[in-house]
Amino acid sequence: MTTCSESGRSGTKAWGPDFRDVRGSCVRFGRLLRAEGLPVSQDRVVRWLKSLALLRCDHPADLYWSGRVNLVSAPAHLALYDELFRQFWLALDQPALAQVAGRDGAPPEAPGPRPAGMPRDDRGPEEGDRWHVGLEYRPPTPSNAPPAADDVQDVGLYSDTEVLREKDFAAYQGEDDTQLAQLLRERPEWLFPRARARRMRPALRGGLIDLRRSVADAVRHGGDPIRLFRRSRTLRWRKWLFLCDISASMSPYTRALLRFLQMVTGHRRATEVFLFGTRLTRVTPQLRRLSGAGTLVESVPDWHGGTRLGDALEQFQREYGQRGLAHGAVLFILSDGLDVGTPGKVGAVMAQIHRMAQRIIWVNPLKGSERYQPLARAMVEALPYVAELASGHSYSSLADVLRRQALAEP
Amino acid sequence: MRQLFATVSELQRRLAACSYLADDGVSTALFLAARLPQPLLLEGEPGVGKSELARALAEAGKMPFMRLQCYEGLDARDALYEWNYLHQLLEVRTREAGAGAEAPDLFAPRFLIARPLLQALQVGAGSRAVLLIDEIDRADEAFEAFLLEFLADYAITIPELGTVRAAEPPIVIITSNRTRELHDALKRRCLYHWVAYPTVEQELAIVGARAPDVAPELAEAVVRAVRWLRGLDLQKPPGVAETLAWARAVAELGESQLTADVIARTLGLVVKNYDDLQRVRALRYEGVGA
Repeated sequence: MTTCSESGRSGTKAWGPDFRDVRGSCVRFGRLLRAEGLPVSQDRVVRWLKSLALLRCDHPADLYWSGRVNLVSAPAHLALYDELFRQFWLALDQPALAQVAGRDGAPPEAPGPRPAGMPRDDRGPEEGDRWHVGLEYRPPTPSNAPPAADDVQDVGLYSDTEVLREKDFAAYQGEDDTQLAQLLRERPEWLFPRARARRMRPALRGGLIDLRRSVADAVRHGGDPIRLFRRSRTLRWRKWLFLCDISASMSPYTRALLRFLQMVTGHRRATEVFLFGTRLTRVTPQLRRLSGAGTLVESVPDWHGGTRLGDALEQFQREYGQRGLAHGAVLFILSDGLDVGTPGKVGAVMAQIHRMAQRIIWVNPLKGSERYQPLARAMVEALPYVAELASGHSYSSLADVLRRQALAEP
Repeated sequence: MRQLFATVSELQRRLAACSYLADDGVSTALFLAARLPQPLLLEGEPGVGKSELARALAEAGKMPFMRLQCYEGLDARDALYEWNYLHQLLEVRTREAGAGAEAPDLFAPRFLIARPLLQALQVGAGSRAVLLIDEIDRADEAFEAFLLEFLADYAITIPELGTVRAAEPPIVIITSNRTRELHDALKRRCLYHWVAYPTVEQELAIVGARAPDVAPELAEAVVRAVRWLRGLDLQKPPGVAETLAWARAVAELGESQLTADVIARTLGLVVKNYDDLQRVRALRYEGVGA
């Protein structure tokens, strides 16, 4: 945006440090990080310059560490920062660069575990940002992708929403997508808070006596407790976690499921959505941010690959679940249970999650078929821990599952 | 403002004197947090010494130390201040009985119970508090927003008394175990440092400093064993605190070597999850000897 005009105006080089002008170099480095997707605001760069002045910067490590603590604020971004730091300040000669590694010789290569939700490929967060921050990003449509809404074959075919509610997502074609979008604009009445919160609110009866208000009132009346005020715990949203399978075998359902999840995420707090194929990605912020569902759907076909259910579940449990997200939550796993991972893994991880989560609901679109039996290995392993195996192959069946959950709360 | 530490290396030395071995990253972050001044957000696996750092800084700088442990439902009356209602009531009654002439001033400082955030502002002139806001991810998001206000101008307004402002802003250290993502607004206002597990050499030095009674050979065996355990991708990998506890425990048992028998008896000190225990037992501690 502004980068073009600025570099054109000032004529400075956009890349690499200029040691006659360290401040300028720092500002350019900040701009580079921003261009690569790190949230480096102007005030952070200013703070960095202040820090450098304080440190007197007599050592490359000062440059590295002061930049890191000021410009980065997520473990997910550390690897990218390191990489760009190396590239940008390359003009520091090799010995100096080695020193950057630290006065004690401790290399900065170990920036902690890989971040949650970030892809594990070599390109790191940058690549990830492209495919999950920018849901507007449209990858080339592969030939096996479901027909997009605009190449309509059945022109004029009337699709009643009542019919659509029951229709299998996999049988969707043409207009159905648009109709579903309309259907999802209605806010379902059953999405409301249903779990005890720790925070107290004033209450008319029950709960605990609110000493603060009662005594304050008594003091006003010469020390006689005239009125007793009470406070009690309020209700809050129970956490709903959705783990949605986006592997190839699920592709007929992915588009509709994602739209549905987007609707739920939009209306309901304490909802988190993760997508998984061979690895797991958290997409809640993207779903919240996006206004048009279509753009998200467009980018879906790109993701279809194999499933490693056990690995994905394990990654979820390690990076989110056991950190606290799974505690007391309702976990929805949206998957057909066709898995190419190691036998036994799904069962082991499900057992762990089972101990933390309030309940696990498995939504398997294949169950929509009369003849379906849960025989896939992963399904067999998971079933003992699943409170309910639902079908969720159509709007109404999916809505039913969620409605039952919402109403099952105290 | 009193200059606490002239350089990063001086800070590092002073921390080391308090048995906290800080690497370049941590000490730079801490130095800047004190000098800019800017709150410092520390994230990292549990047990890598995040909270301990604040304590060590307070000790190294001989500064008063305040700690606010966060939990779900934490609100202003636990974080800022509370009036001592019983005391106030008693005061009213006493005055009534004694038929005191003047109306009692019930909202005087002596009826105020200061909580950590207020305490951090009330340290005397010429002194600076270290304020540790521990495990902020446990508090609800509303508290985070409330904290922003506090961190912006290091002042608290008590309607009955007026505004309390710190003579010198406290050094604020916030820790998070990443059970949930913190709000961007808070992150933007903080310096950030990810505390990684220490290297073998660093951890050996830590054991040497914190548990001097443990023989060096045993310390090395324990550190290597813990490192092996961390590599196993356990559900709850052991932190530095576990290393220290384990080394001390084995030494306490009078053992000088980490044999399979000793490990079997003391494994609960480092591996604190049933599934993990099963796994490590099944591996028959193969990595420990190596």
